[in-house]
Amino acid sequence: MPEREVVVDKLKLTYEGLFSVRELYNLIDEWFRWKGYDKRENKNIEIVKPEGKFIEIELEPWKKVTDYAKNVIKIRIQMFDIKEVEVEKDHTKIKLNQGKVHFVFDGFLETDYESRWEGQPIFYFLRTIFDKYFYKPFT
Amino acid sequence: MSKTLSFRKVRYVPIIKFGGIFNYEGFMKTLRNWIVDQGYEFHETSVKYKVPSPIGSEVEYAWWGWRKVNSYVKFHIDVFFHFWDLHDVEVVREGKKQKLQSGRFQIEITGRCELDWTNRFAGSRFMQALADFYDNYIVRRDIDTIYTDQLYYRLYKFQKVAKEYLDFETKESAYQDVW
Repeated sequence: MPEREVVVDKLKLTYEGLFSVRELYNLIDEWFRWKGYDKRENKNIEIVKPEGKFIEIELEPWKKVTDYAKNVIKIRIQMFDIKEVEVEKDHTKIKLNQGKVHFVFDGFLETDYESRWEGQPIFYFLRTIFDKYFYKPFT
Repeated sequence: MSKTLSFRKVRYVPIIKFGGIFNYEGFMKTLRNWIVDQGYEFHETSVKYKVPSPIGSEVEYAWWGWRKVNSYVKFHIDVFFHFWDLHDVEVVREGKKQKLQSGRFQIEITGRCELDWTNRFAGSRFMQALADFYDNYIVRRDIDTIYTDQLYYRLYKFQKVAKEYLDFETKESAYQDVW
């Protein structure tokens, strides 16, 4: 199993008000693509309720740094009571969403993601030595 | 001696969950058509239907699609649907009465990349070892960066079709032009 070192631990952000769910999602998706991350969407939930939509998305894009280490960012987004509203901006009507959004960010450095050093206890021991002393600049 | 099948499992792809009103028949048809249009041989491997309760029925489907990529690689797509509380509802949309379905469901999509499907390396232990060496050292990069990567992003395209049909707020994808 690859080793995961926590770099960012449960960073939280909450917002309530007007925003566009589509634009927010696209912005996050495009940012990751632009930064060279591979897409990974673990979960995508959309439930239509009388008080508005409940949306939950769990993204876990990753980017290989070397053959040994990769960066993983985990974002959990929960949106509550998402309703569609029409707003006038610069004399034009635009459709936006109103609701509450909650983000949780985690960042990891994943080492030995191909599990090459997992075969035997001695390899595991050597990997720890390498992680601690030889690959120190990465970890 | 028959060769053990060699699969590279694509990292599991998103679980989609939805709850609300939708067109059940149209949804299933759209997804099935996508698999067929992409050149996959389509199989419905299992269907389970439980006797409906007052809140609706529980239905499960397992789909399997496969497609030859070349004489060495074959793609497999496995889709598992699980519906709960599925029942008919009548909706008035744009002044017209429509019969739709209400319920909640979960879809799991997985991809597998089958190697040496023509069994070129079948026959002996030596050939099996040769196949392992070929897969793990000679063509390993191609398998990882061309084939499994391609299958991985195709599964996201399939997911996008489902999201578009259900009009998810997150139906757009910045990775649409990858593969």
